[in-house]
Amino acid sequence: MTRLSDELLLAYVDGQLDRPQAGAVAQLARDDYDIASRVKRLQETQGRLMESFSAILRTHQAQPLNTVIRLDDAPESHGFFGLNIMHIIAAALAAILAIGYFSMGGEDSAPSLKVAERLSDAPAASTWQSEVANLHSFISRDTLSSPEQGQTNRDVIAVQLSRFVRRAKPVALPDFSKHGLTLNRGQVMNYQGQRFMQLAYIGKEEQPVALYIMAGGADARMADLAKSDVRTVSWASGGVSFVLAGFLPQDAIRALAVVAQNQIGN
Amino acid sequence: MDYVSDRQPSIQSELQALLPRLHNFAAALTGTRHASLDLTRAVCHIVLTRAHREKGQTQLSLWALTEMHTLWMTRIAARVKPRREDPAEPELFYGAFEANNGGPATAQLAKFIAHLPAQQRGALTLVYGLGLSYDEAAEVYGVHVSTIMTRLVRCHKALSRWMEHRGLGAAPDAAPSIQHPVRRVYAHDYEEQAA
Repeated sequence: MTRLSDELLLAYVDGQLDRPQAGAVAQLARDDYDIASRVKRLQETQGRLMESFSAILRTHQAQPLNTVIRLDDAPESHGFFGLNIMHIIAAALAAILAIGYFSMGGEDSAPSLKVAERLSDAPAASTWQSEVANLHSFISRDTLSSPEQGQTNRDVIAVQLSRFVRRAKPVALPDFSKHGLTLNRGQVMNYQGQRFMQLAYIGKEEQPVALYIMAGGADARMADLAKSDVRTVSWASGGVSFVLAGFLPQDAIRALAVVAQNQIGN
Repeated sequence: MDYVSDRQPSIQSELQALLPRLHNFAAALTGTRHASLDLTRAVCHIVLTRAHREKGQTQLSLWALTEMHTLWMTRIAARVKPRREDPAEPELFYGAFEANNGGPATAQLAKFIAHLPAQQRGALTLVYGLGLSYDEAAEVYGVHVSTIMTRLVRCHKALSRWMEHRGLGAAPDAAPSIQHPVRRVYAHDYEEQAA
């Protein structure tokens, strides 16, 4: 007798398996009395649940929610006191320039240049790419050994990745197996309200290598960056930004980045 | 499809159309009408104020449902004294009565749904009410797909016991409609004997 889990049978009943898997379960259900019996019971409860929950949704659709929840009450624009964030930045810059202009003596001097110089001397704001390099320095083989964190199912990771690179179909995950690295997990993370995805790869002994993917960013060629022991290569293509980070020599990271770039096809 | 952040002008109308689905999930999580309306209202506010920088999602519904679950969890965690969940209002699930024509045995179905743990009720709502895939439901909850599957199986088992107790479903050992090898052999033998 074949022993199948209730979870697998329910996924079959709910139509969540792909065609080959569903075919295999259907064959087993035809041949095995116990499996057929369990499938039939799940179909009964599924029918009742679908009927009930679609009816509950219909009752909610019939309610005049628009009168109870008024979307007009919510602020239409975003930012501080309803101002657009670009307006705030523009106002702040104008204020800085104006203060600089008047403190330098008005039209008689050339304060604008000095203000501009001061601005250019200021340390550049940390970018997502450099923050990722910092983040990667905290990751080790031990942190990746925890099964509770991240997604290990390659199919699910591929679906998530396809959302990040704006493809309707699942995207082929970058494969570094020829370089001794296998995909360990995929994890969605947050950076200042924006999501990005981490695909972590691990070898037999090496510290992990990870590809970080975030939507947005103008097309950019590969650029190297080093933070302590972490070496990274970043690039952007097709409205998606990528950073490959690892504790490897810069040439090795760059070679892996080329592989990833070709396989993702962006 | 564009990201949510790229559809700023149409967000309000999209959200308007989503309201019943959001309220449905909020009702499943909170279990009370007052709290579900409050949660839906709060999530609408979040969506309208943060939509301009949401770069990780193309589906507004998935993003809004995820935010709703996160907010609900945050509110639970913020409670001064962790306490047992308040029982849900069965009136919120009266749709179940209509689906079963209000029969005497099925009149208890709304109570059965109301007594399920909120996380299980929410998973059922996402999959059977809103038609999300297991993967999407897992994304809303921020858990592995296997967790969603386990929650659903527990609900099915509880409902199966509930139905058996009321004589509504087939007994576990009743003959299934799907033919199995033993039955086919018996039928074959019988035909041979008759010939």
